[in-house]
Amino acid sequence: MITKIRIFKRTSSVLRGLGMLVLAIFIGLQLTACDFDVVNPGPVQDDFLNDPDAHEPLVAGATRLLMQGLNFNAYTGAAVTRELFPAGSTSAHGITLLQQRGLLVWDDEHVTWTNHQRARAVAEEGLERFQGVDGVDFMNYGPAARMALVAGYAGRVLGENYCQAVINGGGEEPREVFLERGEGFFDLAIEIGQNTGQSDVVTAAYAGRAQTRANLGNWAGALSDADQVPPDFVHQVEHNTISDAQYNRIYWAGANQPYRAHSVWNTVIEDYYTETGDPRTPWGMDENIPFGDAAVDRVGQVPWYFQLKYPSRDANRNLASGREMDLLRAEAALIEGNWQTAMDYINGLREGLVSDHDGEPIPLWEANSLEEAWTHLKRERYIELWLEGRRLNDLRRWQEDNRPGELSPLEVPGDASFLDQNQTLCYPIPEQERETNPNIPDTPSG
Amino acid sequence: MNPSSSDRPPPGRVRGASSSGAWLTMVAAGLLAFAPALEAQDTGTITGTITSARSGQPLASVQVFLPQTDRGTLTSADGRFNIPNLAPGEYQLQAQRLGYREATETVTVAAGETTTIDLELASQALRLDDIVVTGTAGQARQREVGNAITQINMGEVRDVVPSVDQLLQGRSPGLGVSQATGSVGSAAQIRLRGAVSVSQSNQPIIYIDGVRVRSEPYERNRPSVGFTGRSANVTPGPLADIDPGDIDRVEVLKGAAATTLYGTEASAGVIQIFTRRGASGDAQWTAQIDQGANRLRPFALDENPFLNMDPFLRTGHTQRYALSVSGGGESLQYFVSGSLTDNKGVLPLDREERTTVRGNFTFSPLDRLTLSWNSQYTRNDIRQTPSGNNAHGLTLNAFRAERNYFGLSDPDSVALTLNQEIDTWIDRFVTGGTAEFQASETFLHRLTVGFDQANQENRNLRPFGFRMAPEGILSDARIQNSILSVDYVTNYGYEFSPDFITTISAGAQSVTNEELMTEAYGEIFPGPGVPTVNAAGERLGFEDRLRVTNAGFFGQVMFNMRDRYFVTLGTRVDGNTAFGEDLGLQAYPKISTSYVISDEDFWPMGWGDWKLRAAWGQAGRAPGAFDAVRTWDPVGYGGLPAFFPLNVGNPDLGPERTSELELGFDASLLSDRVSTEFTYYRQTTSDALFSVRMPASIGFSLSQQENVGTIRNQGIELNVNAALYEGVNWGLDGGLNLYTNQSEVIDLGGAVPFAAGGGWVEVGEPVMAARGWRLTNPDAVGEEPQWEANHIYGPRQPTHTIGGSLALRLPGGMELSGRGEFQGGHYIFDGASNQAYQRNIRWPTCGQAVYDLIDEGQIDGLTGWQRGHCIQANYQTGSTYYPADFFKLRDITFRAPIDFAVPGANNASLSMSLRNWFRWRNDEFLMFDPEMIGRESTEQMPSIAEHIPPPAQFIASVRVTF
Repeated sequence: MITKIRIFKRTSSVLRGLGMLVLAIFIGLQLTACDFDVVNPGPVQDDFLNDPDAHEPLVAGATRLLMQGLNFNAYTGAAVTRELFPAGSTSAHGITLLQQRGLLVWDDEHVTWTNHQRARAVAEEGLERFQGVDGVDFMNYGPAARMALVAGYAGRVLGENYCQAVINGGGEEPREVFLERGEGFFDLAIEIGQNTGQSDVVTAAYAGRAQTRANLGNWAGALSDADQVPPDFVHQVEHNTISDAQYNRIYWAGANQPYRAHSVWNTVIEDYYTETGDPRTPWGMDENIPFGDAAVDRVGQVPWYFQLKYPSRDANRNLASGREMDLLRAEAALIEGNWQTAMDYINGLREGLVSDHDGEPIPLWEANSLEEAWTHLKRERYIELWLEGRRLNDLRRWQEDNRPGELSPLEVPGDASFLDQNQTLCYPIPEQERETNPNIPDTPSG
Repeated sequence: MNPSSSDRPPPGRVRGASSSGAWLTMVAAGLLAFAPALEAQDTGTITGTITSARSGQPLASVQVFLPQTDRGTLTSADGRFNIPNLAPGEYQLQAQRLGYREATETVTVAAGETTTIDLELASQALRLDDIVVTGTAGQARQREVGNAITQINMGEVRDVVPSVDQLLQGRSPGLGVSQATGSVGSAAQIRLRGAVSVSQSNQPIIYIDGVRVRSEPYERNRPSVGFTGRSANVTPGPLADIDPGDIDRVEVLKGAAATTLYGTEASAGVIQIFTRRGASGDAQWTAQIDQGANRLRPFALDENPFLNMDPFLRTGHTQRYALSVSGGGESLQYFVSGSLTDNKGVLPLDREERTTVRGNFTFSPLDRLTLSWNSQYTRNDIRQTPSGNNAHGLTLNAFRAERNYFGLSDPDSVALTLNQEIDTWIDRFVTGGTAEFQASETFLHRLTVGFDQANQENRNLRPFGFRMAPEGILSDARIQNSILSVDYVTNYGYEFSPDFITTISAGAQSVTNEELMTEAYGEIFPGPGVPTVNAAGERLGFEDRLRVTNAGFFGQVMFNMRDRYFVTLGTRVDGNTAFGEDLGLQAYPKISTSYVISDEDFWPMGWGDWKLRAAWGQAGRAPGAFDAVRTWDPVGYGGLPAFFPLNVGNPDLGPERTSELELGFDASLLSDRVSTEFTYYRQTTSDALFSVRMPASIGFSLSQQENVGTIRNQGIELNVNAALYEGVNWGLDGGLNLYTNQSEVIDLGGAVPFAAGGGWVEVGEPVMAARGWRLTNPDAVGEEPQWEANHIYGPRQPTHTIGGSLALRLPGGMELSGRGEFQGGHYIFDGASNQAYQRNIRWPTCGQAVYDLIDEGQIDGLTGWQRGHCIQANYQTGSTYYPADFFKLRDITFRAPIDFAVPGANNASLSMSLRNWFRWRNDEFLMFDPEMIGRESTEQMPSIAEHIPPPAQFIASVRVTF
């Protein structure tokens, strides 16, 4: 035996061994001298956010979540409604196979739902938090107005795009619940915004509430709110170049760096812009790069015509504008049967715009009937709100309300658009929510 | 817990020098190598050579000692030993080495004379008295240990081993090493007995000479902003920093029954590497030169075997130069080594240049005190070709031909991807000191303090003018990872009677891991040139800091009855900074027993040596650093500070706990010509950490770590080695090992099934199973494809592995050997084909003829498979799972002594190995390699992205000792 620890001898007492054990543990603990209360820098503990100094960052976080949701929503919606045509990539910076066919299925990616729901929940939770903070006069608290504005727009976007509503892990409800909830937060934003003198917040809340009320069929309320919005007002979500999650996704997925996942080819805009040069719908092409970055079923390689409405990663996207208020006015007039008034609003938006091609005014629309006026309204909303994440809701609600007027064959199911006959016009509740939320069925009904 | 210095002869008195710094000491030791040993005229010396009785080859690291004097040494690489300054007289000279029967010889020493004695050691099939260290409270003999321990001794490795990954591959049942990809700097993935966790790392923890070192791969070189796949999408591994020539042996513990004393971080197993040490005597120099080539084998279909990569592939030259010296006096022994490795990969930019320096010193200033100090420095420079799931990369664009991101398939266009630089530089220093104090004959203390620091720089440049980012992008990350470990162990022996002895052990350990990362990112450069981030038009900075401490103590009692019945009881108690604040300390008990039944009187002599063993124990795996705390993520929004909800938090969060039962036996049969090890294991991980999914509508994170699950792994391990034929000049050895693993999710604790680690977790299914769409009518002609959703294909990890080896010994000391390995029963996901089918890429598995028919609308004659995969609209994303059964010829090696060619050398040999040249794969799996795993994500399972497979390798090595 060559190892020293195996040289055994009798000793006077086994207690010596036990004493050794205790000593060893003591020495060991002294040597290791552990501190298990490590606080690592980086993530911030929840309690810290009760400090009013942290409230503006909370508002910014909720706003970013709203931006991120809209970023995905606008892109996917554009593909499904053929505001853009798929041109290749299908994964993280592209359009999935089903979306290429115009289908939004219940087990689709849940990133849009997640971002919008987080924006809504964080904003709503933030408002509750503000109310509970000592020293904060909630109804006269600036961050509360901006947070309520985020909550309002989150409700509007969710209500416009999703087929059903779910709030905070609750049961399945009509989508109008999102809208009604959003309307309430717009009310709050207007009141606190007025109390705190934040006119930009107040105007944005009126614009958002007008959109929301129109969706709820409260056209009188919508027009009343629209009247509070100046024609040149724009409320946007902001993009920047700091991280890819904050890039404008429609730009980035078609910027040839390297993605050319979508094209303007075979959309309404392809010919419209060629013919009119309308500065609201610019696109371009590169003879050296003729096709998208892969290929598409039944088409093969897709000619790559890139949109130029968003010319950079940090191009912002509209949430609401004074120009859209005129479209609401036009639609309200059409609902009342007053198509001439509607055309005035529609052409009013076109007047003053000059062609990118020749600097001449773009042509005005002419209508001779209510149905023709509806056709013009539907097309004008396509043009005015192009790539802003609104077309999916427009197509759905017009279909549900059986509105007259024609849509281009390039945006309705058929051989021209390559869209499936069962094109989907609202996002279903995603699989992630269904599987994890015990209050709704695991699979969609029907 | 520590590698013991006591598996060598007891130390003598102080003769050596002390030191004040690693480098000074290493230089000093080099100088010492030239210093003649002092020798008194009234004493004598014993010297000689120890060789293998079977092969006649010299044996290194043999313990040669004189029991009555406490004097001894280790043999050097050429098998020589030298014990000077002995008083005249008669001595019993004993020689011991792992795997060999002890030899004893009587030697007479005369004053002023040198007595030469050469000994042959006979190999021992069952090594019951071999010393093992890992997982024991200090050390133990094999006969005392109730669990299986794998030992890989470099002296028994026949092939030329270019890396530690390949040293481990295919050597032991239950030890799985996947080759990753064909990029240089691509760490293999190591798994011991499958996966015991679905949310935490399954990478075994690693020790070098008792010092806890980094086990997780280094950070992937990827840009700080934008898609993280702008990379080679592989990660270097920390094992690559160790020069295989420095290794003496490796011990591997595969499960919780053996790793209990390592506590909270050890449920996935422990690998301990022991490096070489010096022996008393003259300086022994060893030089080794390796020259070789890497060459990619065909991996796709015959008509396009390299999937359009032909213009870019090369035969990569690999070379290694190593020099070491060892020796010392009675009180100070040293081993100093250095090596240079230059490995060019098969991809055009791939190159890895590595420099290592090691110094191991043992110093005995007092009779009762031994100090050892081992240090290693490694510099690793890696340049990689952009590859994997990288749209700016070479492989993806080459694979996809004209439907790539250029829209062009010509090599000149695809080669534009090579105008970028992905450089990784790693400086790593590992040092550790052990003090061993023999307080009394029965009372031993050992303290080891270790420090492992790796400084990594990842530079990722797409320069101004790069085709896909014309304004240029530069990202530079500096990562510093350090591990400080303190390990104290004490042993106390008490003899109730000669037939009943107790050893009480206790100890405490602490491991603190810190990681600091700062990143600078810039884009939009003013023009061509070699930029820094400062030159960028837009600049961003990032910082991360993390510290995690795990500490605990253990107590153990071993009862030894008649040196054949052994029972060991022990408990480890741990705290960890990642535990929830309400959790407190965690205890991990163990019990094991072994019974050397062949020592019983009733055991027939001809039945050989047998040991029966049984062990049960627990070990854990801690949650992530922030998992227990409710937190928000300061993400920023534009130029504003902003918070995102991050983690719900769980104050009760604790480690997952793996309990393992091991039953088995070790036996030698047929007069020591056959050795057998058999183990049945059953691991159950309870309180498994699952990322329990939460509904997005609550607004917080989508999941929270909870200790809710239960998963199980069970199987057998069988290892048989046999001397099939033994002649004077000829011999044939054979080896066979079998490993099975059946995993199952037992309980989700109320959580809904979820995806994790690249697989699917659902009750009753294999752990991290392959799940996706399945085509049900692949062979039907004229039918629309029928798809089945959420089909569970099966496990993602092999359910059975069979390895075999043969070694033919030839006259003149030559030897021809080979090893092969089959793995099967599992499925692999082919992500590259999946991406191609959903993008309508013209993919070889469909073939141009089929695409032509589709283009012409003539699809009536197509099969369901062709319709389902080659017509884009029919394809279901995530359906490309294939059976991953394969066989690989791991190596064919020829070795020969070439002493005649190197005048003056004590020993010279030539070895040539051809590795992984031949592969068979399941017929359903048409392209790529079943061992591939990229690092595009944190997937734990082999899966295929747009990488090339690992290449085959030929290496010729000349090793000279003088």
